[in-house]
Amino acid sequence: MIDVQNLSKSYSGHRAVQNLTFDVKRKEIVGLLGPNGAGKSTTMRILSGYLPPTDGKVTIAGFDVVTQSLEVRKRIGYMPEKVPMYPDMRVHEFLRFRAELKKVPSRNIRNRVDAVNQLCQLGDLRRSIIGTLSKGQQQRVALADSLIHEPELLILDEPTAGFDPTQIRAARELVKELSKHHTILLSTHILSEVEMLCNRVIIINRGRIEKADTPSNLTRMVRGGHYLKVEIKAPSDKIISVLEAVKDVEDVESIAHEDGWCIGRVYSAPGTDVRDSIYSAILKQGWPLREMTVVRATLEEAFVELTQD
Amino acid sequence: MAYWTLLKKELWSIFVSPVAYAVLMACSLSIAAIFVYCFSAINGSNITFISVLQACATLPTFWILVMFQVPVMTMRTFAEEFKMGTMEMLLTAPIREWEVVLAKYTAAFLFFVLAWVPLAVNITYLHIFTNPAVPFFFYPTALTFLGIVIVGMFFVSVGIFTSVITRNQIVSAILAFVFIFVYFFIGLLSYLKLEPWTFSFLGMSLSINIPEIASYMSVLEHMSTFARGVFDSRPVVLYFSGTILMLFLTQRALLARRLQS
Repeated sequence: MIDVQNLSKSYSGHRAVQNLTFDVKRKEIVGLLGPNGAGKSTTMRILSGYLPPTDGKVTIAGFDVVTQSLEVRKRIGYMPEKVPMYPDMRVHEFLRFRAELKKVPSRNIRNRVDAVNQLCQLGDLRRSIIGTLSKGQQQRVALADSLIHEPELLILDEPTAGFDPTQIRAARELVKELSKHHTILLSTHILSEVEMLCNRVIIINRGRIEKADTPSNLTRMVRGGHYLKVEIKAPSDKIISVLEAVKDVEDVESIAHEDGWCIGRVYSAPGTDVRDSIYSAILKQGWPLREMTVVRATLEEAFVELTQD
Repeated sequence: MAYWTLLKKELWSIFVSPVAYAVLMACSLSIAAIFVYCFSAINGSNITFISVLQACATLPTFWILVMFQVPVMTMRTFAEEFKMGTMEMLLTAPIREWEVVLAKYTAAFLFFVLAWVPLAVNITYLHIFTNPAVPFFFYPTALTFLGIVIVGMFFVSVGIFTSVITRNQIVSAILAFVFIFVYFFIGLLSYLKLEPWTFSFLGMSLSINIPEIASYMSVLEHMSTFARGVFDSRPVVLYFSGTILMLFLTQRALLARRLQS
């Protein structure tokens, strides 16, 4: 659906985006993550055909964003970060105007406006003047606008930035629902959202791609990000020597906790599950065991590790 | 077509704001004042060789009204969209730049034309409610309005252009005002008694006659020709090509602004 080859963009000497190469397949949800000023919005603006790339080639659904910009723009629904809209218009007037602009056939306009009203829960805002709406409500209107012509690809720049927690949850459901018919590229700061929604995450920092992978693979990459936490009543040094002898275990740490209890961390080789064998080793020693948990790093930790200097 | 949708929206956004009605009101009052002034001046001194409309259209005060009117009408067209950031939303829809430029231009031009309706109403009143009726000549009247419309067409395109190169409406209005002011005063140079400036360049002797050049650009001169009922195609060509040039520059500037942002 999206194919980006060596994309670069400079603004008056400053390189905002350097050599990005990635692709997004049909009906995939891909999250673009990165600190502020990393080049996320620039990338999305280029994909939407608003900005031309300085270098490199971007094709969307087989059309080049520079030379066949009109064809590309017919196929995408772009929701910019600041959701600019005409403050004097009413919501339904705005949606009707946008539908006409995006060449929705006039007999379908009514249906489409009703459909996006329902999808984005704009029911009671239909007749409100856009300037009087809150940020979250305006964002729902912008989302409705990006959906109105049933685009193949949705490019959403921080779609949930002004939402309250209930709306974020609703938006998440909506994006999941939309992904059945649309390809979605979204950028966000809310990592839990990405973890729950996206098939793939692209982490951008300083205009470069740091990592592109599934959320679970990314968290696994974090140093010490995946271990087994055990709480055993036994001497610390004994725990280390016994557990290190178990197959696939790479490293064991143990710290004395309280009343003779110790908290141990068991690091195993990637892709292995050592819970069974650790349990039998402890059982063989006859040590009391009161907790055993798998601890996974969050995407947040992966993000911080990948983007810090 | 996207042009009609955009035109509808532009007209809507002009007339949804109370500013439009204030501008129309001000224009209507100024036109009335100029009209009454010309009427009483002609009436008082028993002049018969000039009609009221002819007197109005060749009065410099009349054109000073245009100098203020056009920038106020065009300043918001692009500047506001850039300021609010709605340009990004507009240009990511599947439409071409020239459609946006043309729609905004047409809307501003129609607004301009609307502001001159009171003048036509005044002329009609003068014809209907006087006894014996003030004679009405079709060609001089029609050509005067044609003159106002084609000069306005060019000035509105200048206003649109100054609106696209800035994001501040006031700056845009001032730039348009300065352009129209300078253009108008270049025309006044035709009244100066200046000797042609002669110099030689690469062995050729060239002469530049400033008053003559200025007379080709003089709005007052064009208007007095039209108001007499004489159709001159030169100003029509001048203002049409000026408009096309300005609209072309506007489209280029819009493209350049988008590429820079």
